[in-house]
Amino acid sequence: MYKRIRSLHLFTGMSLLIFVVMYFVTGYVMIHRDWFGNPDPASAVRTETLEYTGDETLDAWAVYLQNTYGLTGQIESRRRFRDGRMEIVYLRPGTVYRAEVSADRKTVRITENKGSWQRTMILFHRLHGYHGTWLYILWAVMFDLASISLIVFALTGIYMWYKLTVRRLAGWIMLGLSYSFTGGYILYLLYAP
Amino acid sequence: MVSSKQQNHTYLLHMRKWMLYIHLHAGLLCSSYLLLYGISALDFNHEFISDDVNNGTTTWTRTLILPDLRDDSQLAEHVRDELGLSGWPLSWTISSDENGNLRYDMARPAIFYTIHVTRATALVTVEETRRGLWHAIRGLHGLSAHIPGMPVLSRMWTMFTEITNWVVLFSACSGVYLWLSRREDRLAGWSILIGAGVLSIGFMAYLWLWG
Repeated sequence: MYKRIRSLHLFTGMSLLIFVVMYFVTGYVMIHRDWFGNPDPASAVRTETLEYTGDETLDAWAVYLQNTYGLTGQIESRRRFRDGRMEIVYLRPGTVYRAEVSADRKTVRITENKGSWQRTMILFHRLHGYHGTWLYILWAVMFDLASISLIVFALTGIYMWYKLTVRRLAGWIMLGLSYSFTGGYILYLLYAP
Repeated sequence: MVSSKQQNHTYLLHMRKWMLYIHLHAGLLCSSYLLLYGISALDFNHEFISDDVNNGTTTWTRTLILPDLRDDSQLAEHVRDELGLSGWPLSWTISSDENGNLRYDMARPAIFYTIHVTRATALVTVEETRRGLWHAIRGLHGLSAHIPGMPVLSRMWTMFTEITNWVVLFSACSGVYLWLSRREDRLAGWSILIGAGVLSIGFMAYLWLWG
């Protein structure tokens, strides 16, 4: 049993190491934006003439614009304004495309924002969900595996510590501190005004 | 006489022992955070926790002395502080009518407020919606800012986030060292590490350049 758990801990750790570390490094940049700076992205705007005859749904428009104008990335948001305009945002680490279709459906205004390394890292961190091309589906799978691996590390780590050590006082103190603090904080959030 | 080779070996054994000790105990300290992080990250990918979950709404009123503030955001924050509430007033929800009556939403992990301020009577009506456990767990994912209105002690969560970040980075490095310092499985370890590393970095680079 111990060997199996240890193998699970080690092999999961080794195979997902880069992904897990990437999430913590990019997360660090995200939570300390003021330290790392957050320069404005470089923008480029172009307007294209539309010849679309397909469905009027936002989904159909999103796919059409992506394929026709090479707006690579995951569809982040789609919305229709009251005046008839539509806006679709495509997101990929380093680049964000904002496509605004005019109310008469004759033109589309595409804004391409090339982000700094800080924004690129934040976008890597924020990329999630099972939608988009196969690349983004694969990313979502890796995201799930990295998330599950955190749960696996935590649980198998506790098991391995228990099996590996004889003097466990320091470990019990660490474990007690960890779970009482997290549990206490959650209770505080639930019941504090 | 102890040879330098033996000394080196003893030193490495000591280092390995201490690294394992820190790896285990720092990991235990952060294990609750890792669990919370793993569960909330799964939610971001699958959205199984609803934004609109309602574990009970209560409405209550209170009369306050309102300062003569022209800025709606400042007034919203003042009302929050005077009521002893905590959270971020959502800027896009703040609106006021011609009489200066204010309406805004305010949020923090686990609780959502809708607040109405009537200028003429200085009456504040608070609609308080409890979002529950899962909402709190999701809200704590990477919470790095102090929640306005909460006591200073509540900043400890941001410290925990910071500690966990560094512990994970240390654990990743020490974990690789501990495994590769063992004779058994060394080849498998290197193979997986290099193979998975190249694939992971290649995938990220591909997404960045052409995704």
